[in-house]
Amino acid sequence: MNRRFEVIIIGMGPAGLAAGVELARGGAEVALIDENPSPGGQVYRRPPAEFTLEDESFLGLRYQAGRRLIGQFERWRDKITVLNETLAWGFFEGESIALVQGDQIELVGYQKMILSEGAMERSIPFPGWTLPGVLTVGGLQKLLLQQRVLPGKRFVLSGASPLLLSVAASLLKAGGEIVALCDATRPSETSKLIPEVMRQKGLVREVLSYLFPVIKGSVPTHRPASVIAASGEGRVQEVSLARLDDDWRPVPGTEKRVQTDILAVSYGFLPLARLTRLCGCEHVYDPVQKLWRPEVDEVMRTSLPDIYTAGDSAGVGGADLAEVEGRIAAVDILAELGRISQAERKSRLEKLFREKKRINRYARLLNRIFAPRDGLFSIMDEDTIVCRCERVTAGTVLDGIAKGFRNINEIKRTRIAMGPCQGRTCESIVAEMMRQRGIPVEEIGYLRLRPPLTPIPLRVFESYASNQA
Amino acid sequence: MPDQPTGTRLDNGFKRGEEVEIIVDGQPVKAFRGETIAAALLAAGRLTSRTIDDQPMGVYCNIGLCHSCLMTVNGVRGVRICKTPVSDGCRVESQHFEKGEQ
Repeated sequence: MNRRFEVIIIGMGPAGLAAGVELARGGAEVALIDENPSPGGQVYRRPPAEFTLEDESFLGLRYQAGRRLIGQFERWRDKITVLNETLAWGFFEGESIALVQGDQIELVGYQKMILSEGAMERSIPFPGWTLPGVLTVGGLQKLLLQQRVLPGKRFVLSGASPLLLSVAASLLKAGGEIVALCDATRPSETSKLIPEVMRQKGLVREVLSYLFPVIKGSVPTHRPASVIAASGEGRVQEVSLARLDDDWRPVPGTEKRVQTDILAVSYGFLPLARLTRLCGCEHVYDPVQKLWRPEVDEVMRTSLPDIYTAGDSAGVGGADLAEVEGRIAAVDILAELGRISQAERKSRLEKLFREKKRINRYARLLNRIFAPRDGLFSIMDEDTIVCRCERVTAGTVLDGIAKGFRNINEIKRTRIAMGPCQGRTCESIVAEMMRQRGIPVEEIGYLRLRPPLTPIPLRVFESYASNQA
Repeated sequence: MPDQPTGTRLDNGFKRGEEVEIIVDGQPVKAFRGETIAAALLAAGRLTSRTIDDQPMGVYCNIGLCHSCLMTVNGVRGVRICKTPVSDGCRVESQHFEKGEQ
């Protein structure tokens, strides 16, 4: 017998948790589903349960802000069905979502569903970026804060992302030496954030907590600059950096070489809108950030009336925005389910919309300042790997474009997006290479995804099939 | 072979789980309960998890999305070591592929 819930929420980051709490409080029968063992998403994740925390301060102010939301969730937890370590991998006709927990497959029904899958860091290739020791900045942060491992002595950080500063601070606190911090933005651009930072609750303190250690540590900072190549025997040992022009193209003659143990790169975030695509929701292209995101109305409803999306998967805006969007979706669903009156819906939404507007001004500015500019995509050469899984080079992708592939699903014939990550890393790179060669974004489109969204061993399907027989 | 820098476990503010030993390509490697296999390997300075056409790859996104860190764990191929916690005596092996073979 398959279970059925009034509301299913996929993802237990800030959007999913906030929505879950609102719905449980309103009396809805709600299930929260997440791949990870504990709530919080990437942003509020705790170190593993086997680690005993004596002092949480090393986790930073952002994490402490998340404790409040996780606390609310804990208070409502017994009114919520929580499915942890459970992966949503498929969508089938008749409002059911396919889950897998361990070796068990389950199809779960719903009346309304909120997809809050979060975001992932965007990659932009450069020669040597597939060498061991090259990590994403977010990946390095997880290693430092949740696993408490410093993976080397000397570090280079590079990219265009608000994460650079916070991870630089974590690295210094952990005793790492930052031998170069390359930021593609100019100080005159990021200083535009100051008035907006002042308008956000607690943000001044948070930003200063990142800024102080970096200033005090006299970190060699290069702006506007980027790493343009990494090299080494079996692992990264040396990187080249260069100044960037206004289009973020490296300026010839400005190259410097730096020896390092680890290189961490970050080029902002992409919405992880995998399930919205699988379900067949409409998506729109954002020309500033160069990405596709689900189309939503003011209450976070997608083009499919029973499916909502909230948080970074609906368009990257950070944890505070995600939380408000989760609440907005939940309030609309409570009204749809008849749990609250239209008048209550209206008054609660008005309050949430005001809050969203305030946060959005800051989020939009961040997105504009850190949006990747065209020149960064000129750093790769013909031999640079574009698809890590299948090791497809930029040259092969360019041949594909020259052959006349004008759609991202056609250019898969070069084997991009055919490996185990299913295009998560390379899709946005290949799409941008195509766009920069004159193909309209509507023609390029986005990858058609098919279940399972993540590789699942065949034996799991076999045992499901034999149990059904 | 150049000098291989190793990682450091940071120990202020909390205690790790009990010490265990994992076997990586036949070699014992120290780990602690709660750690991911990826964290234990990076702490030991072991960055390569797989090769494709002899080119080494290792942990990249560290949140289970990029699949660059796949290894064989207790005989199961294609395990994301950044999402998989260590267990005492678990056998971890590098994977070697040619393009299109995985």
